Amino acid sequence: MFASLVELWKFRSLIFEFVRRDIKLRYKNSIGGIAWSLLPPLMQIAVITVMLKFITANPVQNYSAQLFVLFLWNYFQTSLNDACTSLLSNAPLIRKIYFPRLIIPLSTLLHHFFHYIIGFVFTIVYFFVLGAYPHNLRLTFLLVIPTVFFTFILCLGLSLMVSYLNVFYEDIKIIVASLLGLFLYLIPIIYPIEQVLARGKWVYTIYMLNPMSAFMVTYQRALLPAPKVLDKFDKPLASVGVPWDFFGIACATSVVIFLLGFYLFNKYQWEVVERL
Amino acid sequence: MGSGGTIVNEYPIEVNSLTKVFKVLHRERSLKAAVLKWARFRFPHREEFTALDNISFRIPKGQAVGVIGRNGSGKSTLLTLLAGIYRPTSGRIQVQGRIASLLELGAGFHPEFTGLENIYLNAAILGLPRSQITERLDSIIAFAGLEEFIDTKLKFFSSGMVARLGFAVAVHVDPDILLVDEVLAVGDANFHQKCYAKIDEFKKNGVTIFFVSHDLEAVVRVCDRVIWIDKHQIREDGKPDDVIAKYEEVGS
Repeated sequence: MFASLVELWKFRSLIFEFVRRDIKLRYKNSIGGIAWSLLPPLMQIAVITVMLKFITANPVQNYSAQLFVLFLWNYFQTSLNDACTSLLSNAPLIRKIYFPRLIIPLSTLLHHFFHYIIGFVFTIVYFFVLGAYPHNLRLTFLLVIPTVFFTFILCLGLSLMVSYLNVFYEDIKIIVASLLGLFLYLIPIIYPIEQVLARGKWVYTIYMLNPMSAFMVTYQRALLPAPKVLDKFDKPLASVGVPWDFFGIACATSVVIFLLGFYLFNKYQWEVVERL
Repeated sequence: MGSGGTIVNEYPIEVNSLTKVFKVLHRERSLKAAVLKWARFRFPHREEFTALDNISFRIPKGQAVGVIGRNGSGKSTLLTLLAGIYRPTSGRIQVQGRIASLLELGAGFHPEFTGLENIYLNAAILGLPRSQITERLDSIIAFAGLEEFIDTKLKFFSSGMVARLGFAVAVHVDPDILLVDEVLAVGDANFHQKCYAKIDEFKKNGVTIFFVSHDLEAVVRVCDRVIWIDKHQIREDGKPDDVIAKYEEVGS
């Protein structure tokens, strides 16, 4: 593993060029520029906000601010989807020149990370404009850094697995895309985690064992205080703070998934090249 | 082998009993195919294809070696193995130094990028850091003879122009070893002249060249030694004139 990391470091300028290429390609022939990095998640936030207003019995006040976690979820989703097909779409290059193949999924993730950063900066600015900041800016804000970092690690681990598997079985990309679509609803984003907890402790536990749930809740709590959630009789539900225990478990899970992905990718990368 | 202390680098390319076997699998990449195979309880016997069978040679520093042989004899597989893209099934390959593999000119070129952007991308793929690319930019553009078009998108280039740009970048990465696969058959006479001049310059500077071609004239012109691969094995290995004479005798 150490040797692969050293090799990756030697190829860092290539990683940089690939990321640069992808970012440039995204904005080629478009006048919207980086505004297009923001639009899809913002549209999603708007749609979900309106939807919640109509279908929820007792909508949470200012819930749209909590929905800004979608920037991180979208980062995860688009990265994983793109990484899945990354080896196949770069096949002509991989078959002709040697470089560590891990660079391909890695640079795909870094490219999407760039768009996430734009979204993150937008979130902060928006919260100031909204008046939520600075008085809600607390020390827990720093939790954003490990949350984003471990989300990246988790995403990289999963990307390494699905990218090589997709070379053998192209069904993988459809399965991954469908599961990601499903997981948007299995993760407490469009409804507050408090409502999950209200269903019972064990439901909450199962939810939070999913590392993405733990990351999303931690991210929300890092940015803003927990929302006041009321049930249909206007009684406040038990509040959920920073889920330290589940956050720890999620970080450990991410590292395990990353190591597994790294191991599998390295094991099969030579077979992959011959199958491209 | 010849690895006494101080002369480690005397043979930048050493190949010992190299064998490469490809598994010929169904092209279909789907779970359905895998499940069907599994459902049949037994995998249909995997066909195997031996592309290279027990090949050994070593190349001293600065030698230009031509590889000839019919289509499908294993020449390109050998080159791909030397470039480190495939792993040998058995045997050993040792390659020391920076390799520029011209298995394809302009690897990674993107049609939506300008000539300039593609120079950076392609040079990075060939292993040159950005600062060094900037240093060599003028020289690369001049070599390709594309001063006027460098800010034009690649999709508007003619195929000859694309090839010239690809070759220009490749020869500017300062390789120790140059792997060339049938790529010099592009461009006009003037550009050919430039390519061969560059290759002569490489030879003078001690660059080891591995040259795969069907163009026997080019092989004679460039190479000091010729390896003839026939039916996945080395048939002859020696002076260009001798090997080519035998090759032509058999009839290609």
